This record gives sequence, structure tokens and C-alpha cells, in this order.
Amino acid sequence: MNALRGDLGESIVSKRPVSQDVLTFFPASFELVMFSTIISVPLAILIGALAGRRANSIFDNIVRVFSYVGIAVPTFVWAVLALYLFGYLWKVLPIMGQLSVGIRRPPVRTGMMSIDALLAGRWDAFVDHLKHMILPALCMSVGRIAQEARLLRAGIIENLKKDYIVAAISYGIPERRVMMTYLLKPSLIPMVSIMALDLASSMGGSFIIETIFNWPGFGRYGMWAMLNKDLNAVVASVMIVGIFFALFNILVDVIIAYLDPRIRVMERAS
Amino acid sequence: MADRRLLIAGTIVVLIIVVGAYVLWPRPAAPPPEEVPKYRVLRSTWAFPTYIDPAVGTDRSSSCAQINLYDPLIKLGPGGVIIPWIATNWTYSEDGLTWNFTIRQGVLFHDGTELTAEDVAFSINRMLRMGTGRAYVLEPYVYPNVTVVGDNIVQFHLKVPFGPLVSALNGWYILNKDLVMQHIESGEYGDWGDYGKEWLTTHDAGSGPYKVKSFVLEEKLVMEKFEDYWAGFVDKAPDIVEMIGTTEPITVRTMLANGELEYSDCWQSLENLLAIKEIPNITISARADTTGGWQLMINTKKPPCDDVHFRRAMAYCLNYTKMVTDIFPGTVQMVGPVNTAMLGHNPDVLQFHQNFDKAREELALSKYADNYTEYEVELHWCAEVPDEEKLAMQFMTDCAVVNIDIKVVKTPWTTMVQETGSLETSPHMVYISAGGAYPEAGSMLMSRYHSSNAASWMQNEWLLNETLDAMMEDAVSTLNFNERLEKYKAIQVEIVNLCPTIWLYQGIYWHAYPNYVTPPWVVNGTYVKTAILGDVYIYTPQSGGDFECRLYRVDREIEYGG
Amino acid sequence: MKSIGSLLSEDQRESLKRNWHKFSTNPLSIVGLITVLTITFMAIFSPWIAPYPQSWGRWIDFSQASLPPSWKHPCGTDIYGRDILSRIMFGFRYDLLMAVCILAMVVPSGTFLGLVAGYYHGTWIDTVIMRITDIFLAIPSLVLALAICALLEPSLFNSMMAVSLLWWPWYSRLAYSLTSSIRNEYFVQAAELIGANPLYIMFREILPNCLSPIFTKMTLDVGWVILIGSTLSFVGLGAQEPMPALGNMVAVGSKYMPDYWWMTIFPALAIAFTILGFNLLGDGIRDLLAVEEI
Repeated sequence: MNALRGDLGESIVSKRPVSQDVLTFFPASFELVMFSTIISVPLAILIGALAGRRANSIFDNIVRVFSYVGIAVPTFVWAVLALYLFGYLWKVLPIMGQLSVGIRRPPVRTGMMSIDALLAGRWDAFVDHLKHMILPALCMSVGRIAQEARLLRAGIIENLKKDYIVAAISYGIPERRVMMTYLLKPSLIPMVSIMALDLASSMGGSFIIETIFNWPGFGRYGMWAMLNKDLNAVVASVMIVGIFFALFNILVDVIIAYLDPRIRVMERAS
Repeated sequence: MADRRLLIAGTIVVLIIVVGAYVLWPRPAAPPPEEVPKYRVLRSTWAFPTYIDPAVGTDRSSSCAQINLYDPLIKLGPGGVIIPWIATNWTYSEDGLTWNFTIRQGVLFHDGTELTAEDVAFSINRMLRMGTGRAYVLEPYVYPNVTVVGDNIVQFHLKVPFGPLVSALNGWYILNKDLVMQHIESGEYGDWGDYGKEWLTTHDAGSGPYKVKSFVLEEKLVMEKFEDYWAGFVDKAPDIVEMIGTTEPITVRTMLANGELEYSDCWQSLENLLAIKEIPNITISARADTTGGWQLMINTKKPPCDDVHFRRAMAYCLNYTKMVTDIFPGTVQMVGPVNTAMLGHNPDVLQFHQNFDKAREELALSKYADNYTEYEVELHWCAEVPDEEKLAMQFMTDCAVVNIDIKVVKTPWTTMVQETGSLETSPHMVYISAGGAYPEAGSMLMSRYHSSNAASWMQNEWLLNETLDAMMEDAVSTLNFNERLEKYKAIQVEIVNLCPTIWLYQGIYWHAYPNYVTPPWVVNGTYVKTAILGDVYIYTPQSGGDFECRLYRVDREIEYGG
Repeated sequence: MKSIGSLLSEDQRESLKRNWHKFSTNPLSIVGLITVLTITFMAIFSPWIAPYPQSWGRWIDFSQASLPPSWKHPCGTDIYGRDILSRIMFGFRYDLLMAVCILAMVVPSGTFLGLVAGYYHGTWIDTVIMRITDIFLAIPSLVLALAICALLEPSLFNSMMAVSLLWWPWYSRLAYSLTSSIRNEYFVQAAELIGANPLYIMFREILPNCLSPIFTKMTLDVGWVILIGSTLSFVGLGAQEPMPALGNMVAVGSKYMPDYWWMTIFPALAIAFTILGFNLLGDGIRDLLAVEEI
């Protein structure tokens, strides 16, 4: 019952109230998950739409293989491969933590360092921080991109056969207009519903990713608590992820109602 | 459609104009570069968190920070020699219950005020009353009412005689009383509020050779030279010392390669050190641990480990040679329960070696001779020290030869501390490094085997042996130095007979540093040549003593922005 | 000696041929089938075909430690001198064992609960079972598995229990939706009318009609179970040393990157291929049985 009042007890390991720990660590994870969404959604739409439009082309086949591999391979495998390739072999991106050692940390306001850096006008910290986010965010979103692109592709191929599209094309409406106005929006619906679930489950994936990339967020904290059998902290982290999951499920319903006029009309009628 | 194209074209034109104007616009010439001051900087990596309050932190990074910020009553030199520091000399009463220390004059705190006997009494009482940090060393012996009895004399009142009192005072640092009192907030210590704990987390109130410049918790501690330090500096001592809170192998390696690091932490794996060795102009040397050792602590109350023969059988299984050559090259095997460098170590006790015949003999003698194979002996190793797994696996493999079933369990440190806290939860064996707080055998014996300390991570043995307890108490209360050492030696023989522990090896700690840095322990320590990475040095037994930055030479000056 | 073909009737042979043809038109399914067969073969016969079978158990040899890939050790050795290729082969064993055990626990229990809830559609039994199912589905399975596994003692058995505990709701939901539509069919109503035992109706009338989608989901799930199992072992919550677990091998090896890359990369690729193989095979079977997207 105390949990309802926001009192989650004290963590055995950090010796601080769990609610305080959650507040400290959650923003960094939220930032990472959001950043991975910002990367993955446009990419998924782009790849999916192109592959669907040009079904059975070479590009489409590449996308299909990618989506198979992307879904099948676990995040941690992507992470170690990325570590090896980008971090060690080619040394193009930083792999550990949020900031390089030489750069001073901007004062904490929101807990999301990119925003903190902008608020403090610290351009160097902002750019450095973004670089640190790329690898973990990418590894987190490979599976999502693959799954979402696959759904969108399937949706477009299916809708292409529908009468109203055939009609629109035979009326001579430019292809791009057909694509953007009539094809994309209905095809997006199944993708959106899975997208939100993916977003919430990448909160779960962050447990692994943050541990690998040493990202000082909620996932690393939860993992740490679990390995140390810190019961209060474990319960809190599972609860928070559950709440996150539920919130996004609600959000999905709202977005789908917007995208699918049939649902909107039905609601108005009732 | 046409409108949109027009709009795009327009935007592009405007963009081109703006960018072109920015590039071509005449600009005033850049101002001539200013003369930037250059500093000698010592940047080092550490396993954080670090606690710079002497009454709080005792781990490695904390001790190393404190020794630079504060002055102790005495310091310890090679071989455990006592070096008078803030206390210049001392006397004790016949019964050993009253000790007087004379305080050095002319020592300045960082705010310019002079260090007095009043500050000393305040600091010692503060540590004793707070009961954290090093308090456990003196708590059983010293009343928390150290008093000022003369102009520059403080008096300690003891509960029972305590022979090693002076050397046990290493690491008891002196704080500026007035400064601390200005920053007291309400807290758990009655009249003393929080004893300045909050403020002292990120500030110093000391008289040491360096003072805190800035401290971002969990991240970086920056210290700068205190020019008025009474004991002086070596030539080319660092002006700025940075302690950076990371031990991430790849970061350490990159920083060393880029010339951004002057002293690496001691937690790098052998594999990473071999890679670091390839970087040009980097030297790698090791400090030998002189205060403790790595041990497999056996729970002597849990079957089948409650049988001394079974314990000896396990001790005869391990391949100790492989341990000190392949797994931890450069280390030496422990001889009995005490580090060989400690005063009062007994070199004549039995040292175990691999001998499967003897192991089988012991097994036959044990009361589990018929059914020991039915037991699974759990060995918990510390998840934070990945190298431990190698030895644990070696031990498991060796024991399998005589059919002793060892189960190797990776355990986080906090879990280990919790489970060793009570007899019921203590596992069969834990793999921990433990040692003493002052360089006498008694220190290590008391913390490792005295019943009063049984419910802590320092002990998993649960000997609870009253005879041994009495012998140890008797030894440390002996005021005569030589007599005391003889008593320590007798205790060690008793303990080895019980075989409650498998004494493994005395650790060594590797550090990598560029050639323009000379650590004091490399200059003043005695050393042993090894073939693998570099030499192993033996230096002061004082905790943190190897990182006295005023004795480091940094032969390079760089621009330093902070 | 009689060939296997002659044991089957003409019809059966014909339908088998037809199915095989249908299955083999998709090259991806064939790739999946070959991968899965290879992995299963290696898993079953690892004690005989592994080049260094002692690498599996309580054996270490520091003189062979950290050797790069060579003819002697095609995937190199780990820091204890154990052959990585042999350990990967034994690792397949635990992965497959885990998948088989989990599905053997989850499929019957989940299906049974879904069947009961679906048959008593609209009653309190339905409500209780399906609400519990919803609760389990409301939290990302990975996090829940991690939490359960961590609070228990980490071991192969406990990680199987943890995954089973959160996998059954998927089957009960599938069985529920199938049952609640089938139970309105005439043949079910007819059976009810003549007074058949509810258990008889559930198991003899309804269940056979649910089997094909459930079987398809099972084949698709093998990959997912291996994925979540290897993730658990990656964080150290699966099989413990010296048992080889692919996820754990990746985790331990990644500490020694990049110098000893082979300790990480080969086990990681092994995991990727295993899961990919099972997914491709599962997709092939789904197309074959013409079950709609699950």
C-alpha cells in the first residue's frame, strides 16, 4: 500500500530510498529509449514503404533478409558486434558511458543530459553526448526497425490490391500522391500498434543494453539490483516498466483512433 | 504543386546566400594566443565511490585521497617503521592505560590557521564517536574522550592495555576543528549534529600537501598543491592531482595512449595490461600487498567442512605453483595466516602444497571418509573481481581429482557481505582478500579469527574458539614489543593446525604510467624482478601510502584548463 | 529391407510429397531446416564429434589459454584454455534442452487453461484465468524473467522455470480465442445436446481443431525461447560454470575485447544462427499449415 503513496522502501545496495533512485536513473533511460525511437521510426517507415512499393525487387529482398536477421538476433549480440566493429576495430564511436572523460558534465536539471547540455548552452557536451547515444540506441532499435519495416511492407502490399488504390491509380493520380495520401496511412495502423509495444519493451531491452554500454540509467540500476537480490529495487523496477508498458498501450489506442477514421466514426456514433 | 517547388527553390537560394555570406564575410584577425600557464598534472584512475572524510572511507581510493588532504599522527615507513608526523613523541604510563602524545608545532591548515592539540583531540574523538571508517581499529581499546592536557599534549585513556597503539594510529587524520564546527548541521550525533559529515563529503578541512579544488561525486576529484605545506615536496612534484572515477579497461588504455593519464588504477586485468604494455613509453610496475592476502575462508561449522581432515585434504589439492606462475604471475604464496611482511609473522608454520596422496590420506581420516562425495561444497567468489574465477576454476579442477565436488558460484560483493554476516547463511567457502589495519601480525589475526569479529565479511570461518580468543587478547595487550611478537607466532601455529582457511597468495597491484612519471615506491621500495610485465616493489604498509603525491615526480608541464 | 516409403500408404506418400514440394519452394525454409538439423546433430553427438570433449567439464589448462583461431582450435580457446568450438557444440545442447523443456511445460498447461476458459466463456472461470493471463502479459517478459531468475539461485533449471512461468499466457490466450469460436460450432453444440461430458467435448471435440495453430506457434516459439534463454545466461543467470552456455560465453568474452575477439564473436554468431534457423523453419511450417499470422 505504501507503494501507492510513492514510498517504495529503501534499496539495500544503494542505501537510498528506491523512489529517489528511480527519479535519478529514469530520465537517462527515457532519453535513450526516446532517442532510439527517433532513429528507428523514420528508418522503419522509409525502409518498409520502399520495400512494399517495390515488392520483389533486389532492395525488397535485402530488406526481407534484414528483417529476418534483425528480429532473430538478440540485442546483446548486436551490442557486442557493434562494440567490436565501431568501438574497437574502426574506433569511430565512443562505447562507454554518457560523456568523454575530458568533458565537464552540464548541471543536472532534467536528468536527460542532451537537454541539460542545451539548457546550459554547452554545445560540446551535447555533441559528445549524442555520439555516446548512437551505438546503444542503434543496437536497441535493430529489432524494432526490422519488425516495423516488415509489418509496413506487408500492409502496403496488401493495400495495393484494394479497389480504391487501383481506382486511384487508374484515375491517373500521381504515384507519390497515392503513396502518401491513400496508401501509407492505412498501412501504418498495424505498425503503430506494434511500435508502441516495441517502445515499451525496449524499456526492458535497456536492462541489457545499458549494462553493456555502461549507461547510467534505470536499466543498469535494475539489472544491478537484480544481481544483488535487492528486493525493493527489483519490485520497483518491474513495476515501473509495467506502468510504462500500460501507458504506451493506451497511447496506441489513441493514435490508432486518429489514423483509422472507422474507429473515430464508431466512437462518435456511440 | 508548382507553389511547393517554388518554395523549395526559394529556400535553397536563401540558404546558399546565407552560407556564402558567412564564409566570405571579412573577419577581424584572430587575437594573438595568450600566454597560458603550464602545470605539472598527475591524472589517475580509480574505483569510485571515494570518501574524502577520514571518518568515513577506508577503501583504497578513499585512503589515497585522504593521505594527500590530511596529516596523520604518525606514518609508517618500509618494514612497518613508525615515522613521527603530527605527533613528535609519546609516552605511556606503567599500566599502559594512559598515553601522552606531543603535537608538532608550526603546522598550518589550508585556511592558514595553526594546527593545535585541540584539533587533534577533536579529530580522534570525532572518529571514535562516529564509529565508522577506521574506528573499529581503536574502539575496543580507547575511550572516546581524548583530552588536551598541556599546551601541545593530548592524552589517550585506554580501556585495556594495547601494545600496538602507535602504529595503529596510521590513517587517523587531523581535521581543523573550527572549520568543521562552522559547517555542522543537525544530525545523529547529539550535540555534535552531523559532525560536519555532509560538508566534509566534498570539502577538506586538513593540513595535507594538497587541497580540494573541485569534487564532482562519483566522477572526479581535483586537488591542487598547498604551497605552505610544512614537510615540503620533492622536486617536480605535481601542481594538480586528478582522481578520475573510472576503471573501464578501454578508457584507461585510450587515455594512456593519448598521454591523458599519468597513473592507472590497480584493477586492470592481466589481459589488458599486456595490451597496455604495447603502448610506447609506458612502464608497468607492481606494488606488493604488505598488509593482507587472498584466502579461501572455510566455514568450519558447515558439513563436511566442519572436519579438520576434510579441510586439510582440500588444502592439499590446489596447485599453488600454477597459482603464482600462470594465474597471478608475480605473486607469492602465503605462509600461514599472516602476510610475510608483517611484524611478528611466523615463517616456520606449515605451508601447504599440492599433494594428492596426502589429500587422500586426510580424506580417509575424516569422518566423511565414506560419503564426502555426496556433498557439494560451494565456493563463492566475488563478481567484482573477475580474475578470481580463474583460481576458483583451478581449485575446482584440482579437487575433482580426489572426487571432492566444488561448486563455483559467482556472487556480488554486497551479497557476500550479507551472507557472511550470520552463521546460517555463510557458504562453505568464500574467496576474499583480507588483512590488517596496522603492520603487526596481531592486527590481521584479530580481524580474521577473533570471535568478536566473526559476524563480518572479514571472517567466514566461525572458529568461535575461546582459547584462541584469549591468546590473541593477551598478545595485543602486551606492551613489550619482542614479547608481543613471540606471542603472535605461537597463535599462528595454533591456527594453521586447525586449517580453517586455505591461504592463497599475497596480492600484487599493477600500475601503468608514462615514463615521465616516477612514483615514490619505485624509487624507495625494495623490488623483485619478474619476467611477465615489470618489477614488483615492496613499499610502505600504510594504506594509501603509495599515492603520496608530494613524492611523485612529473617531468612534463602541460596547459591545464580544469 | 523395407524402405520407409513402403510403410506408408499411397495416399500418405502422395500428401507427404505434396507438402514437401510446397515447403521446399521457399529457399529460406530449406536454409532453416538445414541449420536446425545441423545444430541438433551437433547437440546430440557433441561428446563424440567435439574436437576437445574435455572442454565441457571440470577441466582447465592455462598453457593453452587465449589462443587465436587456428587449425588446431578453429574458434580459438578461452582464458582457461578450453576449446571454444567444442564448448559451442555443448552449448547447443543446453539451448535445445532448455527450449524442449520449456515448451513441454508451457504448451500443455497454457493450452489447458485456455481451453477451460474458452469453454466456460463468460463465466467466472473465464474471468479468473484470463485476467491472470493479462497480468502476466502486461509486463515485458524479459524484465520479469530477469527478476524471477535473479531472486532465485541462478541455475539452468531456475532459468527454465522463470521463462516457463511467463510463457504459458501466450498459449492460454491462443487456445482461448480458438476455443471460444469453436465452441459455437454445430458439432460442439450437438455433442452438448446429447449430454457429452465437458471434458470429452474439450479434449475430443475442440482440442483436435486447435492443434494446428498451437503446433505452428510452438515451432515459431523455439527461436524466441532460445533468445530469452541466451539473454538470461548473458547476464549470468543461466547455466553456471563450468557448464557451457552460449550467452555466458559472449558475456565473459566481451571483457577481453578487442584483443581476444574470438571468445565473443563465435558464440555470438552461434546464437544468431540458432535462432535464425528456428525462425525460418517455423515460418516455413506456418506457410505449410496455412495458419494465419499468429
